[in-house]
Amino acid sequence: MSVEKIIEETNQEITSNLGADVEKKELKWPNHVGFRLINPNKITDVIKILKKLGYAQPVLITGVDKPEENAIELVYKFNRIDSPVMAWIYTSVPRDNPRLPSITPLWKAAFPHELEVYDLMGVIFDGIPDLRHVFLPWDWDLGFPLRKDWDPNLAKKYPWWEQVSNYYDAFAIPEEEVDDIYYVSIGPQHPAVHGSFRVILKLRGDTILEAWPDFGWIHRGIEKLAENKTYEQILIYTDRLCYASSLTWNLTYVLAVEDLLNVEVPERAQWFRVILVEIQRIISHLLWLAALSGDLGTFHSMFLYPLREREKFLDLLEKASGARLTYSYIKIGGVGIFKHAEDVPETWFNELKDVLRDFRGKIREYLDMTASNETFHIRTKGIGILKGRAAIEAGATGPVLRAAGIKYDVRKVAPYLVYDQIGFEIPVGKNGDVYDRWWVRINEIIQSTHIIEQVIDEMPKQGPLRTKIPPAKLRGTGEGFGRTEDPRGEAVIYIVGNGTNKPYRIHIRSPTYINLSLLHFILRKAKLADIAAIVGSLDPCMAEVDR
Amino acid sequence: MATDPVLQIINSSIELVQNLLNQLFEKLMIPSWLLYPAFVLVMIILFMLAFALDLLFIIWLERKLIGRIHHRRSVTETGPVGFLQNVADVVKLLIKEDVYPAKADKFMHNLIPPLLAAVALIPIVVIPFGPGIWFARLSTSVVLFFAITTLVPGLVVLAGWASNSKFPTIGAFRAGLQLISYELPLSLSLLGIILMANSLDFVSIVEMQRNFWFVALQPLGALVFFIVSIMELERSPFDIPEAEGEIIAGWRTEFSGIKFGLFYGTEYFKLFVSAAAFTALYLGGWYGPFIPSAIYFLLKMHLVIVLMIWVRVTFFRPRPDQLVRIAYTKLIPLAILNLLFVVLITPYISPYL
Repeated sequence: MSVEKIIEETNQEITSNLGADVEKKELKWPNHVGFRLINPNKITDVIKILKKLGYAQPVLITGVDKPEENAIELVYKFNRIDSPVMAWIYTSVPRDNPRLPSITPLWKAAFPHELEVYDLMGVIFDGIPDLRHVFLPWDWDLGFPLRKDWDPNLAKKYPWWEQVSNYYDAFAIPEEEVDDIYYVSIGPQHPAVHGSFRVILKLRGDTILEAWPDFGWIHRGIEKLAENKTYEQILIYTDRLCYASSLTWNLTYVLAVEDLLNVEVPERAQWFRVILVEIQRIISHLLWLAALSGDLGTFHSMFLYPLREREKFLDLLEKASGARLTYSYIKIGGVGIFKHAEDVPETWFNELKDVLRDFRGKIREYLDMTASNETFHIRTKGIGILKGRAAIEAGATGPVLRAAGIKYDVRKVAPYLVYDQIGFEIPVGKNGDVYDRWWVRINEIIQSTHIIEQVIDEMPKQGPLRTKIPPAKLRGTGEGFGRTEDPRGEAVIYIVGNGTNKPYRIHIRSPTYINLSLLHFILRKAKLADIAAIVGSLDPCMAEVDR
Repeated sequence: MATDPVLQIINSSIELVQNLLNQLFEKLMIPSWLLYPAFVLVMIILFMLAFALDLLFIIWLERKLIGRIHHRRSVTETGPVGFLQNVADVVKLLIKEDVYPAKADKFMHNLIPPLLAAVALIPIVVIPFGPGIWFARLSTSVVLFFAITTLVPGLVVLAGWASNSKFPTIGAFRAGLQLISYELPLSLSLLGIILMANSLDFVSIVEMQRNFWFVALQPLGALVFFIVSIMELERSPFDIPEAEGEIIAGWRTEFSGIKFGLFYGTEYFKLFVSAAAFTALYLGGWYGPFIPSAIYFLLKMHLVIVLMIWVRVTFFRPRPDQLVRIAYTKLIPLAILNLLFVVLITPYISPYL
């Protein structure tokens, strides 16, 4: 189905079914269709229609606080597996009584998003199965931090020292354990959770009966911090969103800002950004491969081999950008170091080609160590299964969704930069187990090497790498939207500008947060010993969840 | 029979110690009935020093070898080629604070680490390192050896239980699970040796291998025994009771400081003892050309240790249920097959042994 047809159909269905409750909203993006819902209680009707029309997931649900209108504006975005069309639903709830029906009963994937909006914005969703604080402490009652009138000094009143000595939380583990059922808390400090989050397990023997992931142990409130920083300063924060893939987050943020400010980016910079992001994808996947292998066997060689190759790519990025992990290299308007648009020497590209050639042989070594290793197969096959429609329903994106057999990659579905001019394949798994996730990621590494080689050959050899924008022009009104394929899934940054040099609201959709919420579904019936493999296969990056 | 040079050195050093002690006791006018206990004490200290030196070497070897396999340098700073790093580690563990869980059984929590180390070391008394070089020769030394090694998982369960904490308890019961899975294939593969050698004595088993090593006569049994040894040692890939990444450190999660250090040492006591048993049972003990016998034994033993280190970094850890499945559906049939083979060939081969 063509884009126009889908948009037309969506328009027709929604306006005819909801009548006066909805009005069309013009968006600045050609492939997107937007509506303003006047009666927020009708949200469930809209969702039913969108679901019938083939929209796949609520990509993000977020709130924008508007004290002068005494309203909280809620923004829902829905994506499709087969086309770049996105549906945007805007609706407003009054600030003093922010209630509207939850869409979680209809669409499971909305659950983590709605929890987050409740947590930080204070919107109450009626009918959500378990409304609780995710990132804030369980007994937090000191207001909602993302509201504009919230006083940060209130945070000092939270008696955290009492909580430390008198430890108790919303996931209270029952004191009396019935029969052979017992509870184990994996985390917040545990080798299986790469960072700090927690999974509460209900076990009988060695089998997991139920699992509840629990986040928010190192939440930094980047969304709130960003509201007091200029657009250029926020770039530094996007590095810290995920230590394993700072460049992809740089890119997502920069795309959103460029969209907001209508900045033209030189063509050479577009191509160069593809190289950088694909190197970052390789680096991120290598780190993941190492971490997973380390979890599956104590001190296994595969824990060190991928890190060895990662080092070479890090060296390359260090030569280009001057940093090893937090690059801040993709800038608003192009690529460059600090305020200067410095060019990258031709030798850098030759070096990159050499590294890639060596790297091909190393991938064969990895396959010898893993795919040809019987113990790897017995550990990864048939566990943590999530496949087909269920994966879409639950909200998975990225390699987790592709391993489930769904061919969905933002680079192909809604190409950004110059991905539409590059030939590459999307690896798709069959069974949706840990082994398939491993297979998908290994093949993505291989595809990334192909992409980089193509780009080196095809990119313009001369030309500027950055348009310089005077700081005075770094102010925008309206909305900005960046959507990219992060190594971990679909990354979205949504910015609302109010004409100053600081954003009015910035929302970051973390793919890991949604993917880790899947643990509730995929840990059921698994063994306790599989927890490291299953959690590891989702590629957790906690800095990104607790953004 | 020409006396073994290593045995000669040992005998002369024993004489030297005796003479020195005699002179010392005469000079200091100490009652002579204290002479024998003092002699035993000195000998134990001397042996433990030599043993500790070898243990340091084994740990250093493991770190270095794994480092090389991982393509990194491993220990380099402390002492020549990093040899003293382990000494530094032990010192660090000694000065660390000893932390108990609030609900732990303190008596057991303190008792288990030294007890485990002692029990793990006892089987060394029946290992023959060379002709005439052993602490004790029993007619049933093989039975004694494996009876004592079976005690270790029991103490591990106690260690986990005494911690009174969830991950140690899970790890402890995993150790029990591991025991019931490796015990049968271990006994069955051992039965092949006992049948062929017609003896329960380590020394006579080694002496039976002067022409053919048992590893050549029953390779299947040797394979099963090697795998089962790693299971018994709780070393990666069968480090299920202390699976890092799943249950943190398993049964030793709650032990800190030197108690952890003792567990760490116990791992290497067990490695030493197990490699020695494999050498005596399958690799012909001290037999070999040119070099003096006891050195030959030590060489083979360290080779087995190197093999075990190599396995450690190559394979991923199976799940507990998969471990039981491997043991019961793969190792036991293989061991029985080996036993059948031994029963068939022993009458033809025994004249040449």
